[in-house]
Amino acid sequence: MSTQNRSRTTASIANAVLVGILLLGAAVIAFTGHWVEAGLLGVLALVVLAAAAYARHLQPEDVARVNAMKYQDERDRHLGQVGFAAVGVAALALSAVEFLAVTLFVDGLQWSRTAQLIAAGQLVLLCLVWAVANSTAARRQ
Amino acid sequence: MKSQIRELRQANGQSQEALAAQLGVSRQTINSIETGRYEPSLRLAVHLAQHFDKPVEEIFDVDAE
Repeated sequence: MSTQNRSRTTASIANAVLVGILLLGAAVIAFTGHWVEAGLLGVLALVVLAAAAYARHLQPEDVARVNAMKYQDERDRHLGQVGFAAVGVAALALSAVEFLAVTLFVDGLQWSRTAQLIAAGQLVLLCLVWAVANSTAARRQ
Repeated sequence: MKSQIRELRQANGQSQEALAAQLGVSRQTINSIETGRYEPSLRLAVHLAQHFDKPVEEIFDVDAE
């Protein structure tokens, strides 16, 4: 009669993908000689790994499990969705602010036009992801 | 949503951990349902009703906040 956990495996995969991306980013940045920024990404990867390791403890608190994406049951998954929804809203707002700032100061601070394109691309992509996620959720439920 | 989970569990002499283990959920989920902070899915609600051998509507008061 178990209601448990179809996503324990996917949560682990999500964790591994996140750590992999962070480490790959650190390696690429280190290759270009930006050691401080590479170190920052490396520390982030370690934090994610530490959270996952803590969540493997015998009886971690629910917040620790959700932080490590180690969802044990339907409530954990719900909490995870709420958390990522908040992250999504914040990411959209911050991307809009970032695009605005880069556009306003691109000439004064002599930033590259590439920075403006990256900020614009990030904003457009986030909006697309939002639209696709809404559409997918509406179809499935 | 109010429920009778705590009363039924205590009448059975079960701990939150034991009930959670039997249903395959976390202790925090049982605690959240008992305190009305979390509304379980239909699947979990039915499993709880089966566990206590009672109708779902007898365990959960969907009109109570």
